[in-house]
This record gives sequence, structure tokens and C-alpha cells, in this order.
Amino acid sequence: MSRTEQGGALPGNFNELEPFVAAWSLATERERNGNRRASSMQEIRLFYDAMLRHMTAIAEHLNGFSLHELPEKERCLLNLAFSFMEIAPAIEVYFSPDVPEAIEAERLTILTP
Amino acid sequence: MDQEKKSIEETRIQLSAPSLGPSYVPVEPNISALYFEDERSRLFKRVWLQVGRVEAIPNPGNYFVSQLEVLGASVFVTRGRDGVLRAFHNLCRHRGNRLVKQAEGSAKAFSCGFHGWTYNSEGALVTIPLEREFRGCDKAELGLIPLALDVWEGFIFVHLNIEPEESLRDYLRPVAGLLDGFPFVEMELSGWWSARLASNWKTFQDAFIEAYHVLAVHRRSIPDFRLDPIVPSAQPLGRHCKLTYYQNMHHEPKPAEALAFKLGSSAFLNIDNTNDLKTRQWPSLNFERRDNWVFDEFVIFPNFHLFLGDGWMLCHEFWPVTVDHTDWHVKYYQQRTTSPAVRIAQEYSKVAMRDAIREDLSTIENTHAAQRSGVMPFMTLSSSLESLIVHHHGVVADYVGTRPTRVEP
Repeated sequence: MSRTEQGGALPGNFNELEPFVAAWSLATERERNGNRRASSMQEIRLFYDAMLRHMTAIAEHLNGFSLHELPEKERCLLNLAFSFMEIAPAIEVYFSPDVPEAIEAERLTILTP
Repeated sequence: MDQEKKSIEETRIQLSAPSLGPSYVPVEPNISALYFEDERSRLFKRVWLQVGRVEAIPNPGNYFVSQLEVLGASVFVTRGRDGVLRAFHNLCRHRGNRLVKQAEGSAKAFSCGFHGWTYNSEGALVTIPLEREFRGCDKAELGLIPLALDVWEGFIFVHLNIEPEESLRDYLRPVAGLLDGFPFVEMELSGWWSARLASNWKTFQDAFIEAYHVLAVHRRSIPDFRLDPIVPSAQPLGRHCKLTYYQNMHHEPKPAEALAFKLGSSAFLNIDNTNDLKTRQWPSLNFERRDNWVFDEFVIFPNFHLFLGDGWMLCHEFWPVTVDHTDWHVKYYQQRTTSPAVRIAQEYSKVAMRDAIREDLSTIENTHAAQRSGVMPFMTLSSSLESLIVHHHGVVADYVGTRPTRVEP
């Protein structure tokens, strides 16, 4: 997730999403879920709306590469897309960052590699 | 196979069967420390137990440890230089120190940290430091203590008895042949979650073997679930059983789910794509060949739940620790892919599955705590909707040697 001389951390056609990279381009499920629960609904909503506009284009762009041979900028973009899927239920299903009426999130250990 | 199919048809329970009346299942087995000790010695020490998948240890020297507290044992499974999988008690034959400390890894040999006794990956004792001081010892008689191990569809099972009463294949009857053709080798680990809950293991796994709870527990994540007119179907299968789950045909996906359908797939039903349902090729999944089929859940007695869907599978392990505590591991697998778009779609299913499981966790500890109080001597269950709970408690009682499970109020 480095900044190059050419510009940001993402491929050029996704400049609009640069402000979200620092918070949401996270490489593991544990980190993404942690950030979802630590964020306000306002922050989640901003990210959700911005990403929803771009998700189809993101998938089309990334499909030009093989999943296991993604360059750094594309990897960063993929992690943003994963974060979109992580937070979508907060907006669409639960209307809160975490699952309501569930045991504390910390008690479910996320061991996903 | 045909005989197994026939027995499935004969034992299928119509889930809407009000004439059956309720079943009364006693609470005592869920809260009694004495019953738990009987489960340990008369059940868990006499059955095959699923501990993992072969892909976790692909190369010689690879190993993983299973803390099987219900057996009072730490066990590790390793692949030998000959490629064969073996399971051993995780203890040194010298004075019983724990041999393997890491949960998983790879080792050319296993050396005890106490005095350096060393074993190879076939379990033979190869080195005793200062061996001359052990003159008369035959190293050949001091190898690691094995458990029986066998593999079914890539799932590794162990048995405390090195010569079990039944082979694994016999133990799994009639489920053993039912899953032929499911693409297990294409499945890649997508999500892995774990928790220790303050609940008896039976109460914990009961929450996952009926669809009745979906109406309330999953009212947010699955708001359109209906138990009428098409109900999930339940089948006892020897000591095992199966639950088949269907989805509302009029399901309207939210934007993220619609996106997942567009990019690849979802674990859940894509109404527009039912022609593609791969399970039409598999003889035993989606037995009723319904378009709104989502999964078949096989409950492999006593504590392993295997959900199989179109392009995914979900494995639950419920490990008793005490009568009041259970360690639980859930592994979600999806079809291996090199497409980023499909992988993004799969992330949707993984998160939705995990969040739904969080919803399931909302009732379990409360249920156990209330049962623990002892003021309610029995549960009143629907003999149709909750038949598999009645079935499971009955098979446990068969092993423990107490009858009847059904009591009159």
C-alpha cells in the first residue's frame, strides 16, 4: 500500500477512493471486521456509498489479472472491495456496525489466515 | 448405495406433522457432571472423531495438534516421510511430558523439550540422549502411542481405540456413500472462527439442527424465511442425521448480495440462476431436486456438522470441555478460484455466513444457564420441527446407556 510517484495507492481510475485507503484497505478478515466494529455508521455509510458506485468497475479492472499475481495497487483495491463486503451487512441488514443481540465480538476468534 | 437411498426414503420425516404431538427431552443430561463423565467414557472414547482435513497437512513432516479434552488427551496428526497420515498421543514415553507444543507446523522429527528424547514422523523413538544409562531398554517398545486414524472424503477421523469396534466406513453408514461426487478437493478455506461457550455441547449443537429458530434468530439476516408451504426436511440416518434447507423463492437480494450474484456466486439462492444448480449431478444432495435448495447439513455423530451447498461447505466441530463448556471451531470453505471478481463475490458469502453464526450465538449460553438452574426438568419439543434434537439426544442416551429419552411431563 505505498504511494508511488505516479500518484496514489490505487490504480488511476479509482482516485475517488483514495481517501478510504488508509482506513479500509486491510489485508485480513480480522482487521476488516475490527475496523467495521470500530467505525461509526456515518463513516461506514460514506465508504459504502462510494464503493457501491465503483464495485462493478473494480471487478472488471481486477479481472484483468490473476488473483494470485496482483500488483500492489490492484492488491490494495481488492482489499477495499473485501472491506465493502465486510461492511455491507451493517448498512443493509443490521443498521449498526456490529450484529445486534450477539455475544461480544471479541469472544469469536477470527482465525482466518 | 441403492439400499441406502431406499432407507433414506423410508425414514424421511415429514416436517409438518402436527399429529405427532410434542416430544419431552430431559434437561438432566445437559447439566449433570455425572452424565458428562459417562459421555466421556461410554461415548467419546468409543467413536470416530473428525479432527481436520488432509489439505491442512499436505507434505511429509506437516502436523497439527488437537486438544481433545473430552478424551483427556492431547493428540497430534502428522504425515510421515512415507506420505501416510498417523495420529499419536502428544506425550513422550519417558515421563509423559507434552511433546509437540505448537498448534501446527512442520518437523523432520519430534524432540521432547525435557530430556531430548526424539521420535521420527512415523512415531518411532530414534534417540535417547545418554542411552547407555538406559541399558536394557528396547527403543522399539517405546514409540509414540498411536490412535486409529482413517480418512473419508478428505476428513481425518481418529479413534482412541487402536483397533476400533467398527471401521470408519461402517461407523459412517449410511452417510458414507452419500456424498460421492461433491468436489471436496476444490474447496479452499475461506473463513475460520472459534469460540469457547459456557454451554453443554449438546445444547450448543442443538441450535444448529433445526430450522425453526430461523424465524426469530435470523429475522434480520433472513427476513423472508418461511416454514410454510415448503419446510426444511429432516432425516435420521442411523446414528447420524441430515437437515435439508430451502430458501424463499421470492427472495429479493440486497445490493451487496445482488453484486455477489453478478460477479460470481453467493452461498445463498440466486433465484435467477437455478438452472445452473450443480447439485442436479450429485445423486444424494438436494434429494428432492428443489430449485430453492440451499444446503444439506449432515450431522456426523456425535459432534461434527457438515453443511454442503453449491460451491461451498461449512464444518462445525463441537468439543466438550466440561459439562458446562464447549470449544467450537467453524471452518467455511469455498470453491478455489483465480478470478478476483469471483473472490470478491465469495467474500460476501463468507461475511454473511459469519454474521448469521453470530446471530446463532445469541441464545446458547442463556439457554444453558437457565437449564443449569434445574427448575425446568424437560424441554417440550416439536416432534416434527425439532425431530433431529430428539434423535441426537436419543443416540447419546443409547451410548451412555440410559433410557428412556422421552419422558412424560
